[in-house]
Amino acid sequence: MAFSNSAFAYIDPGTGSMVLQMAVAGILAGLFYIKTAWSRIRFFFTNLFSREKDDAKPPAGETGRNSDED
Amino acid sequence: MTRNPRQERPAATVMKTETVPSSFRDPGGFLFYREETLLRQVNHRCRADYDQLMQSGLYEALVEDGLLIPHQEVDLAEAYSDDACRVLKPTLVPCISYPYEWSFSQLKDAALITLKIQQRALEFGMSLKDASAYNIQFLDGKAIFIDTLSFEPYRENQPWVAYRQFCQHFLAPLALMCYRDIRLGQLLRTNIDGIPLDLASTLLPLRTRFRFSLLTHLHLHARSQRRYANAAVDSSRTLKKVNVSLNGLKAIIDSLVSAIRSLQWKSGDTEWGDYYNATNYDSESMQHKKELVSAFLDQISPAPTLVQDLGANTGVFSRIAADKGMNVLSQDIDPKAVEINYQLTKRNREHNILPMLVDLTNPSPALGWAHSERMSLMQRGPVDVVMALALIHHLAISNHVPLPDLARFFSRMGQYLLIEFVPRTDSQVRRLLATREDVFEDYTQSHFENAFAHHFEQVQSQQIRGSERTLYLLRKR
Repeated sequence: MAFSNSAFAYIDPGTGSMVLQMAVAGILAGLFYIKTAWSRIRFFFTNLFSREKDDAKPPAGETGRNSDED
Repeated sequence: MTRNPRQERPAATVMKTETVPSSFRDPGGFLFYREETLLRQVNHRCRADYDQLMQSGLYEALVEDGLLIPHQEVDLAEAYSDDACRVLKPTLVPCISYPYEWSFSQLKDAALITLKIQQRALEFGMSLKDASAYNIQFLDGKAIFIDTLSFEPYRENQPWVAYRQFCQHFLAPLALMCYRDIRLGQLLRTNIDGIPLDLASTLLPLRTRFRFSLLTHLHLHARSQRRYANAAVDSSRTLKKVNVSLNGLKAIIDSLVSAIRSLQWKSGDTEWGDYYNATNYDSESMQHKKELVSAFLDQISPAPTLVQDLGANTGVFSRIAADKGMNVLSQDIDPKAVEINYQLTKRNREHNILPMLVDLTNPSPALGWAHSERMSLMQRGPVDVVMALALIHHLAISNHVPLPDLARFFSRMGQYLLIEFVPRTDSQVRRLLATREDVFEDYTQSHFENAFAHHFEQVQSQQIRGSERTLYLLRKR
């Protein structure tokens, strides 16, 4: 059982909408993984250089978001 | 927790309670009024979800970012029924507005915060169980999510249950407004659960099929719905096979964010967009009118808190009231004017102006089940002050409403009326009369004063310098 039926008790999600999500997720997941990884790499270097420049901290939001992921 | 609060309360102190008709659909809880206070009951069946929202840190994170309406927990004795496990007192939104009354960017911002909330929710192990545009309101000039009970735990490999609703409530109308015609946003008024995707897919131009996000989330989505529509009886077996990884789910949300962000409305010229350039006011009379509006508003005592500016255009006069700390509903019929008005509130960080798209000759009706899910425009009133500047000739001449009917209508809308009479000799009225048979003999200043005297007493009136128009401040009898 992939998920509980109770999730569908309140609004009707539509079978078609569910099946489509699976297909779309299959296509997008890989690209999204690369995108996330790339933004992390970019963040790492931006962070590195900005620290070298003026020893400034990265914006609080950026740190928060990255530390929360995965 | 199972006690009955009503039995414990002495009969004499039982207060008047009333449920809010729009919140009947969610078995997890509902809104109700106890006397004048708006409360939200959390039912036992939603307790675990609610507690997870509060204990996971998600509530705090969302409230801190201004994404979710804050609330206080109050005594369980305030509950409406025995099912209650918590009673919440949410921060009040002073002016309720609906998606069909929003400009393009208001709907777009509402879509983006819904997705942002879903992204944050996933970080905290939760997920939105619905993505209705009606869960968004505008508070202090910003879109905010108001349904505290829309969160459920994220279950591994489950797709987003609210995906279809999001596409119907946000993506479809925005795409139609952007690619076909801005007026198609009004389809939200006839389709209370959002625009059906097959309809959106039919109406959208061919070129939208060459945009990956619209191809997948709208066109293929509609086709998938059609294909599986008959499989509903057997859906439990089909659905068991549906697996979406967390990364895949995040990818879908991310793709929806890009899809929404990329939708830009480049407006053509609509009726009123450059009204302030085309108007017959020279700058001196405009300046004088502003001074008079400001002075008349100052005379009202006690100082008004809620103002409804009808025919507000881009909100020039709304801002005079807003600068005095009043909350202003700044309403106009022209989507472009409302859009500009909203952009201005964002740019200037104005907290107390709510631009709304309203056709006063056909204002928002009561909608939904039993006519009680969405309030009509009138039901949301009355306000302290109604402003009707450079408006009456449009209603009396273009829309053929007799002056006594106008007076009665305005008297139902607010306590005070700040109204500008535009005489027949005015160039704007002459323009309206040029293409019509002149059957408006009664449209004179003395008839106007007589008609309004039935419902209002005159506080003050003054002619606007450099024009033939007169501004009146009237108080309801």
